[in-house]
Amino acid sequence: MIINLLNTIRATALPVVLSILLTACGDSAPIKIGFIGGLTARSSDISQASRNAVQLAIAEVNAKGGINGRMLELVVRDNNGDPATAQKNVQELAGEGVEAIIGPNLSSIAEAMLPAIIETNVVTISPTVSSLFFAGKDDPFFRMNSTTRQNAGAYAAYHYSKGGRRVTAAFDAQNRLFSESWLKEFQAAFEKLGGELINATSFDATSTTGYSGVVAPLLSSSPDAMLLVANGVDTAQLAQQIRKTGSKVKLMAAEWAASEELIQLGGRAIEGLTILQTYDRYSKEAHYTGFHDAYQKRFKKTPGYASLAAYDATTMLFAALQQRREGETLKQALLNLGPKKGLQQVLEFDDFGDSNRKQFFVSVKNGEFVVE
Amino acid sequence: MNIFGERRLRTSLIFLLVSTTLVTLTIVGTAILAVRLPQIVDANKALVARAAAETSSRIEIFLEGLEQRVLLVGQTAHDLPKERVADMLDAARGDAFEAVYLVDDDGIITANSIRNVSPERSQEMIGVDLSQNKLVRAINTKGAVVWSDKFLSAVTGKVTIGVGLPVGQIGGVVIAELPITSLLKISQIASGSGGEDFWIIDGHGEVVAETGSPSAARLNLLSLPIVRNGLANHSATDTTDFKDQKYHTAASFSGALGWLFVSRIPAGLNNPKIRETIGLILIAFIASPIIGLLLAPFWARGMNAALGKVTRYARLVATGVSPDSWPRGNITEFNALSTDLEEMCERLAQVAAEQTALSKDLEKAKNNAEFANRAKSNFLATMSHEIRTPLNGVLGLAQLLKGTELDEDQWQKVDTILSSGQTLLAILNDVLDMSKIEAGGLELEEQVFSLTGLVSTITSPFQSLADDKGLRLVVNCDANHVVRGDPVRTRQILWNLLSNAIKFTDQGQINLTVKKSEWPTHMENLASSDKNYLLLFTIEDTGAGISSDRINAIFEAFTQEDNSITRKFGGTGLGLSIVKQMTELMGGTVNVESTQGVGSKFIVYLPFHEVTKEEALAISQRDPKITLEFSKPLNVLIAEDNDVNAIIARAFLEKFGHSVKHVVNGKLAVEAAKDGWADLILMDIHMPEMNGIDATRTIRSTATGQHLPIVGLTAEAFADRHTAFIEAGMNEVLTKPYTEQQLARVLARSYQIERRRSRRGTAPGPEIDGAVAPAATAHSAPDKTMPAKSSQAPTGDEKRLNELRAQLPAEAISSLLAEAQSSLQTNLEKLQESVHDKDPDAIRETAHAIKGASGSLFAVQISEMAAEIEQQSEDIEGVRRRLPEFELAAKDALDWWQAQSAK
Repeated sequence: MIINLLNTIRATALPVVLSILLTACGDSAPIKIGFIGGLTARSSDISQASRNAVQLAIAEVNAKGGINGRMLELVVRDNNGDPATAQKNVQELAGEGVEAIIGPNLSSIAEAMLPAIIETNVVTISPTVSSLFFAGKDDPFFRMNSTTRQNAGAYAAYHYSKGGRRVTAAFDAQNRLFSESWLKEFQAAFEKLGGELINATSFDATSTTGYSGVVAPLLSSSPDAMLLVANGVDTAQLAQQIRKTGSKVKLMAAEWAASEELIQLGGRAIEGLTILQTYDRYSKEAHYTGFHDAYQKRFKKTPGYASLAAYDATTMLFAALQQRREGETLKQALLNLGPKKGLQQVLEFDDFGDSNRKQFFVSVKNGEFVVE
Repeated sequence: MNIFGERRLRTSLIFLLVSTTLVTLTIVGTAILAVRLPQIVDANKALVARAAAETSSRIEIFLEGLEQRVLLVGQTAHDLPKERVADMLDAARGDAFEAVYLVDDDGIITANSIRNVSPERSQEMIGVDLSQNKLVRAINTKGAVVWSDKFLSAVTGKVTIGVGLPVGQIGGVVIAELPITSLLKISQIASGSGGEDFWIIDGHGEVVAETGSPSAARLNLLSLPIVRNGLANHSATDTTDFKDQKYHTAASFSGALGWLFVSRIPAGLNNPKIRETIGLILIAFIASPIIGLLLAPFWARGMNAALGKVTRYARLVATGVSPDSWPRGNITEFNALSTDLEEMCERLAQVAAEQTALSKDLEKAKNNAEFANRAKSNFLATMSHEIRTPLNGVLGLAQLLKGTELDEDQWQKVDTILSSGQTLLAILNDVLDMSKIEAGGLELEEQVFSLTGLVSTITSPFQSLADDKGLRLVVNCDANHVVRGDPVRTRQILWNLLSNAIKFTDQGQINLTVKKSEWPTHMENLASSDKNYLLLFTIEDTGAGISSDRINAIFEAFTQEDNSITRKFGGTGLGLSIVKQMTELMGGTVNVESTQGVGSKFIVYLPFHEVTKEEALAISQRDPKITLEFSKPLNVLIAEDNDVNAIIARAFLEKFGHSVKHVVNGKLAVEAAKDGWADLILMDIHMPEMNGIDATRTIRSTATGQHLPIVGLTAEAFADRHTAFIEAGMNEVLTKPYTEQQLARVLARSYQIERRRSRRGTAPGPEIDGAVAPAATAHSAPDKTMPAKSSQAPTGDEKRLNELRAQLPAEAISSLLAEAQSSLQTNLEKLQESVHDKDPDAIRETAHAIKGASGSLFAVQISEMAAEIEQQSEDIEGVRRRLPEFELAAKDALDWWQAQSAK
């Protein structure tokens, strides 16, 4: 009974005492890290993948005693795919005193957040945003991903090298900032090589008009490949509708779609689909496999590209927090950070807080991504 | 053990109440915490475990209902024609599901229920390949109902939860998707009443639904031990840290749903019940001392009221009031106190009554004793008087007889009568002194006197005594000591010691040494700042000495060295005792050193007040040069009822050459004083008709008697009586029996003083008698006016005389002055004759002549006095009384002229 009592008192008193101590001593208070993503929306696959990676990274750092003795606390906001909500989330997180925000995954969301990010001056690192719109800007918004120009250019070069010359494309109107920019970069690069973007149609997945109406005109142009610039779910749906027509056209999907859900929902319709991966999912390098296994164990899922990018983002962020000198802003610390070892690549921000990812082209074979 | 000291009842009660409540609360509070807190913790653990299980099964039951609907869809789907299947699915969807669709064995959607939402999408969904879909695969693998984890719906594009089951004979599966919000509703329904909250977590650790805060919906909770253990073991309880808080958590895994139900309740202080319990104890802890503080004054007032009654009654008793009944209240102890006090008061009253009776007896005894004492005093006074009066006769007559022609034998006998009488008188005085000392009635006087003078007056009578015995009396006085103290007692001490020394010394010498001394060590404790003039008297004889075994007893009353001494030397044996007692009364000491056969040495230290120079000077100046000679015989009136005494007095007076008139009472004395014949009255005190005191007062009230010297005669030895006589107006008091010398001195002094006084026109005043024997103490009236230079005109006006001297030749002045002297002498005799002849005309003429002659040569005083006498020539008696004064003034004038003529 006495031991119970002691335990009870300890259970009761310790948090109280600790909270008093923590409140009294500002340096011991946890460092809050924000996360903004569309966790319940159509593109929730990559947001969840990123969130899981951040959650894992924070748990790992905390298990090692935090950063400079301070624990990390993750504060998650779900924008449900709504740009206005995302903008509000930035204000909220800034109000809660987060040191930095990881996210978002979508350029259209990032576009809405940017004024708030600049206004609140909260360093925000997006794992996946790649729109050229954000590149070369001196602001607190950092990106892990390569630009649409780099990725789309890679697609153009790849397809052209495979003999492709005529391409049609469907792109997501909801994330137009990315998809349109991506497509334009592709078009520019592809046409420069000598190829041609015959037709491009935007679609709105939230409308009830369906995908079939989008697919039909693109197929009628008899392209040698169809390019789908959309998230995993929509890419799967589009592929399903394309294959339902019996068309055997070569399918390419922008790197955005490269999530587990694409496989889950694509079924046989995405067999042979070519997609750019920013990492080697079959890498045997210990640094990566350690992460992979931890993630697998923790979330009973395989990490995606958004997971790796988010994890790499936390690597940069935590290093900056750790190495930040007296009087130095976090932004300065990130820019002064120098190269760091990422899961599969060297990480480094340029003067505008931009970075780039490795590029691997894979295609789906029997429900798996296979390097070509 | 009163560590806090005296304090008020209220304070005590506050202390008592506060300390009691605090101690009680500490014990009870600790006990409650020790018992109650674990109970609460256990109850909370049990609560969350029960809640997790209950919620799990409740939601299972709810979802089983949905499951049944999906099962029904599956079972009926293959019986229906294809076109009806979609309708059936729409119907099955209802409000519960987001979407319901059929998937064939190839994983292809064959029918769906979203026709009403979007016909295009519904159509598009037909044929969609879900062969890679986890849920579809799981259903096919399991061949039974599967509740999915959270997943992104291909049909709706939303995150959702699905239930799917195999359709049966036709193959394929039917899947129904629930909006995630519906689960939230369910979990809210399940929210328990014990303050517990829930997480519903899918197999991946994703929160499917939750209640309460903080929210975990955006997190994956698979890393929490409770989740991990719950998923692994299907049931777990643990204390979980989540977002800086501790929770008691319990997990219950639903096998049917594949979900984990985790119920949680805050642990520690975050738990409302624990907070409430601790809060209540804390409030009690804070509140009870305050209540104690507030209640204590009330209780104290109540107790004080009870106690106050008792103390009030006790105070009443203290003021002498006896209450009839003592108060009774509700407090046993106070009632007991009241009863005790009541009994005590009764006992006190009893004791008081006894005391009163006793003190009445004592008072009576005291009165009796005082009466007896007074009777003794009266007896002594009476005896003193009664013995002295006849003794006066014996001694007086013996002295007179001794002065007549006697043969040798007769002279011897008379001498023996005289010495025996004197011895008797000494004994009488000793007895009186002793009785006064013993009665405590001896009071010391304080006056400035010349001690050296006193010594010399004492030693002269002893000188002759010593001569008679063939002894040498050597007196050695180191300086002229003037001190303030009691001359009478000092004299008595020395007298007794000298008297003893001579008495007990047959040959050799007696030394009296007087010197100023420092305080000897054995007297240091007696040293006092006010008596700082210490004199050492040593009386050393070469007598028999005192045996060592008796030396300590010689100062005790009524012990003489041995009886034989008494027989041999006579005396009462009181002398040394009187010496000792008087010495000590004066603050001094007396000691004796003696060797038998060698002699004795009495050492006496007597402290006096030091006198100022002015006082010492005054003593030497005012020491009157009393002469026993009179310029002319006096007319003395004796008022004395005792014939013997009168005869003695008359005999002495006539021997001195005075005229004597004798009256037998005060009344006659008053009459006799009126005619102006008497120059002095000897006034006995105790007389028939009118006593001496009244007679003196009456005489003093008349014009003729105002300055008439009156000497009181009394056998009363007590000094306090003498004071009364002086106050009545007597100049001096002479105690009977007196010697010839004493009488002569008193007469001279009184007459001369009074004469001077009358000349100055002042009231009778005191004079100091420095030479009255202790055997016959004389008392003088206190000196209220000091002899200043006459307020009247100076003897002569030298200034005017000098003016005249400037105008006339010196021979003429000398001649004039010689003439004036001769004239004044002649006229003075003429005036005396005229007064004697009672011839007013002659008085007037003579006075006039004197006035003129004296005034011409500026003898102002005598001239003015002559003018006054001229005016009052009819009042022959008045003139006669002024005559002595006039004579003195005349002498002064003659002297002045004589002095002036010599210039």
